[in-house]
Amino acid sequence: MTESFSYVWLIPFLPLLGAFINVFCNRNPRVSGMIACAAVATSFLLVLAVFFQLIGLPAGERSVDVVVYSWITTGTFAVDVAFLIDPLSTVMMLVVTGVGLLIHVYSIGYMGKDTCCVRYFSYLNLFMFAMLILVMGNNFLLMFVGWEGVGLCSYLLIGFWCERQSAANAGMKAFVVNRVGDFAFILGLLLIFLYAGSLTYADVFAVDPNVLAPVITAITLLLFIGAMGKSAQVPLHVWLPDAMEGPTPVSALIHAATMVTAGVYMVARCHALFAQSATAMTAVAVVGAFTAIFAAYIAMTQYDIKRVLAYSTVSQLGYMFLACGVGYFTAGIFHLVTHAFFKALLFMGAGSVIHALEHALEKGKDPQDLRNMGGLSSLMPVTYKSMLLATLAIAGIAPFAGFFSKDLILLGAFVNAPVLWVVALATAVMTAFYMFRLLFMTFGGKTRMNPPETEKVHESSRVITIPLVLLAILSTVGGFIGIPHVFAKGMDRFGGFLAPVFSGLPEAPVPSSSVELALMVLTLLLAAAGIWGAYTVYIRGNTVFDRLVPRALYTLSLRKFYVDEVYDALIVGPIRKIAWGFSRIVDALIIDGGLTLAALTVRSVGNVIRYSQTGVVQHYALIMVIGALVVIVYVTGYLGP
Amino acid sequence: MTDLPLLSLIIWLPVLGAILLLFVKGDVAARWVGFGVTALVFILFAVCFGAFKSHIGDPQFVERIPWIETLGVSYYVGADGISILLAGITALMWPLALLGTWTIVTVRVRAYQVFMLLMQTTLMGVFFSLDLFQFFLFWEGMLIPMYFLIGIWGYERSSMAALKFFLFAIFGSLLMLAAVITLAFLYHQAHGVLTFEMAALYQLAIPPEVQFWLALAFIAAFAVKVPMVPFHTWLPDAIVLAVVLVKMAAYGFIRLTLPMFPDALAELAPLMCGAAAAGIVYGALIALAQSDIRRMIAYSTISHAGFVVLGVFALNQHGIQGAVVHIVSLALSTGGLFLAAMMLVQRRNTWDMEAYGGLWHTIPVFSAFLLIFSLASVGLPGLSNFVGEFLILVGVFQQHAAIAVVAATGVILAAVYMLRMYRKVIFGPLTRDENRGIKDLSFRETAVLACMTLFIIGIGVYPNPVLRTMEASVQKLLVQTHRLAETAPAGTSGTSTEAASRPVGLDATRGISQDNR
Amino acid sequence: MIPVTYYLILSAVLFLIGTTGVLIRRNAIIVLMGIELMLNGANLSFVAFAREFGMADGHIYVFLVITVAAAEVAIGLALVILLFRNRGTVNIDEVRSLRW
Repeated sequence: MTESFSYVWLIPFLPLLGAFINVFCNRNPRVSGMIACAAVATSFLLVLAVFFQLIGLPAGERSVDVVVYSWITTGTFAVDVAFLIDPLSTVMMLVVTGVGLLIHVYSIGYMGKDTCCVRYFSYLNLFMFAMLILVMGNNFLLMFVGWEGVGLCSYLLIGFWCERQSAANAGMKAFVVNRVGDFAFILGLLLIFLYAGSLTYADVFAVDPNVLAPVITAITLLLFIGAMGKSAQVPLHVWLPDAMEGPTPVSALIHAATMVTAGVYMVARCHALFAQSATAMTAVAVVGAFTAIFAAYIAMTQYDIKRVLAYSTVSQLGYMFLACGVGYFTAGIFHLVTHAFFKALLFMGAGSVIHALEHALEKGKDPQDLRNMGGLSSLMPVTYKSMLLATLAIAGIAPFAGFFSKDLILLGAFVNAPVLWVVALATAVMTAFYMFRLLFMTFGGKTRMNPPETEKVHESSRVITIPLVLLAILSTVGGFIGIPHVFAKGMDRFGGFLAPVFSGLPEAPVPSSSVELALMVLTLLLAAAGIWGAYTVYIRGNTVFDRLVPRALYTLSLRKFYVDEVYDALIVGPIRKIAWGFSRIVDALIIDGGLTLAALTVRSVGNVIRYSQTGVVQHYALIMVIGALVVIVYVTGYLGP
Repeated sequence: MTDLPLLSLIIWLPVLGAILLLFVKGDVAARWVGFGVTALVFILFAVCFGAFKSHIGDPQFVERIPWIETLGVSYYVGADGISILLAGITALMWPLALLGTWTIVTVRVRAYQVFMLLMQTTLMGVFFSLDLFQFFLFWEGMLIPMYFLIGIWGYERSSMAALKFFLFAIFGSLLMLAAVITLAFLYHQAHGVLTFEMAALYQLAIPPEVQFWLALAFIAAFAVKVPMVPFHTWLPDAIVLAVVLVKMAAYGFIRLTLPMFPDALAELAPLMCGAAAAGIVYGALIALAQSDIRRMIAYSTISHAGFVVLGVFALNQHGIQGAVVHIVSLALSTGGLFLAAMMLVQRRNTWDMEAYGGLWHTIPVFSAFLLIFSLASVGLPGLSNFVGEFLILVGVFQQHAAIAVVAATGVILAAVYMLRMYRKVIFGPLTRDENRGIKDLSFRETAVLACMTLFIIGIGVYPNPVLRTMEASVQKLLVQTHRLAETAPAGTSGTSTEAASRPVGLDATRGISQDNR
Repeated sequence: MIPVTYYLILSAVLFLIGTTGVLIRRNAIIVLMGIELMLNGANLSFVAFAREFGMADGHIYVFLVITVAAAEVAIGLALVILLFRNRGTVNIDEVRSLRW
């Protein structure tokens, strides 16, 4: 059967080829977008072929390793460049190439006029390549290649407008923070290799749990720290909000289709390991829940449209980890998929708004600031409608995509960790609130722009709106791939498809249908409450919250809990000082100074002794004679007759 | 074809080229002669590599001519999997370096070519020597061209740097010389003949306490040149040749220290690993505080050299193979980084990072290459350094997990200092007018850097040819390295088992081991 | 036959005269002559021992020494002449520019 999948190497290779062609063979900015899109589109078609081929197989055989070549071999260490085709990787490939393709198309409209768009599209293709390697690899090391690869591409894309200092800084911050996670990840790999003797998934997951038992918690926690870096979980979340320095489609790509989902994918991929360590599972769940509420809290007060969305991504990723942590891996991946739909849509919608305002607003006004918007619904109807659908989806309103996946996560939390369930519920309210706040401030109410500005605002071109509409459709109906059992037995297509992957896990307890329904109603009510809150404040202009909420809580949220400042003070600053100290004091003063001191000592001794050189030949001759006599006496031991 | 004395040709051809240069007039002609000779050496090497059989662990293409017979010294060359790789990277880098510095070196061009050629000879000689005496001659001989290269064509304070380097090196070499003589003496005591042949000396059973001091002497010689902290302060001023020295010194560790002193290593290896890990972090931290590109690269080299030493003293196959791959990648990435930096400095005449900025749009081709070299240096998977670093970490982690953890922090710091440099030089706004008119790379420069990039990517994506070439040799080396360490407990019960585990010189070694215990 | 001791005493006397000349005379030419005396003192003991032991080695060394001495005198005198031309003196106390 392996033979029939032998073409899968083309899936990551085509985007790489696209990047290659754009870099070396193409000088025409107009064509570059076409090339990039064609590469990704072909990949997408191939992924579809893989998908249909896979569901043609019996459920038990839906896991195929495709070895391309042997990569690194030394003694007992052997790693191949090989791809794993199973339902989980196929789902990821579908999301990556599918949503990625829409973002590529959108980019033609958004970036087509940029002078550097050849470079832009080659980065974008490279990003797809790295992400596909990440999800397709059949071993940890290949995953690490993609893992670092997406880090690199995010560095390049976030710093795309590198002549802006802030963009350059943000790119570097993303890479370095990711590296902190990668450091843990690589240690995890080393531990796995030491104990399991292999890095291939199939071998590692098949290792007897008793062999791994002494280190399983360490391994999973290290891997999870890696995931925290890539998926922006507290406290390694700091890079993601800054990542919006890149072009908006890039944010869509990073936040929705690629990169940040890598951590969730990795945890789901390693579910066999995580399930062996209760500590690690708890850590995943707690970090996820905490991140969810933490980021949601910050998102409620931000004014930059992309920053709100960025914190919303962090929060939603927290949900996904919560799902994984309580053992609902399917729910985590399900939310990953639906989130990819609506978050890509939200970012692209935001991009559409920003694009429109960039040309309209007066110089000096920030086109990303919510306070400069308002009343855009009539001016940009397509953008507005699609964003409304996405907002409903992320707020978890039935029957949009987010409802189903979020509901499943909440159910899992309710069953396994009631405390975290409360946290998740609170987050759901906040999510509804801040997302509708964003929607109302952007599109609702009266405009806060000048009349001449308003006249210049108009709907974006087709290239931009068509992907929006497509994603809006997906955000609306995408949830129906996983209809809960309560409504229709056996209609959970998504769960059924992934079931073979997660079959090794213990059966999760399922509450009765009535409890499940009650929970749904409760979440819906709470989400509605959040929407009502946003409506009251931002449409009706009611200041009730201003009076109720203490100023400090508001500032804490606005200032993002001062995390960046704390890092600067506690980590960045001291490391700079230590580096400076080592450089100037230890290296220059002590080590090099010590050497200079030794050299000076030698020289000063020489300065004294040199006066024995009188320059008179006969003195030297005399000393020679005396020396000869001494030698003779010493050798013969004879001092007199 | 194989009847030709290939290795001797590779070693001595550059000397012939240097002699030819004495009769050449004019800078351009001198450059062409230098480049032509090194290119020829590369071709010869390619022939040699093509005929190399990687499944054999013993030296191949062996040539042996008796030389100073009373001392038991012979001209004895041969290549095994490890030396052929290191010689290979030398053969590759030399024409590229000469081509890369084509217009950068403008004073005393002829002398520059001569010294570069002489240095290639000594390097090749070191890699191919199978006789310790001859090894030492080449090792020391290299100091001469090196002294002049640093002194004449280095940058500010270069004559001081050259002197500092020379003294450091002489200090280390003296200790090594003493150790070499002691080894020959011990051999004479045991077998009644003088010889400096490495393979024979490997078999020598040396009392552990003597081993300890001899090993220390060798380590001192190599540690100065790797360089390991705190013997590194000559490097920042003499960076020009750092990459070359890393290669040689690491080779010395692998070829001499490991197989000769197995007992001493049991004690010393953890110490060396610890020192190497400390050096990794130390070098990285200092690199972080530099605003001078050259010093930044220098300290990053110190950090990377720490990785190499770490891999060697992991004393297992992953570590040593990783170390060799890392040496090769370092030559490519750090060499490329430095060459690129020199090209930039040639245009603007300053090493200060702050003087640049916003070059991305002015010189895109250069920026792309600098990015690739920086990323390789950072250890991005898919590029060559990653393979080496990861294998080293795998190897060390098996022996000393804590040390591997410390070393791995170097990975984070590397990202910080490299990207910091890149951000300052290439990114950011273009603020200085004098940066506006910088010309992008010429065809020649692009070709040089592209060639290195190809190898960086090639090794990163498909390192197995490299790994396979040395596999048999490394295994043989490890058998040597672990021979006594493993048989030591058995040896106390009876010498017969101990002697049986030794492949060569059974009778004589048995005699000596009885004396020792 | 004259015992070898006599030759050796003569040789020692010659050598000492030569040494004293080298150490105390100021004229460079006299110093050179002192060196010649020292060499010949040594030659004498070589020849004496050669006869005593009936071996040719001593003679061979004497020939070697005579050859070297000839060369040495040639160079030494040349140096002295150059010294006189440059400094106008052959007094070696005055030629001491190689001090510290």
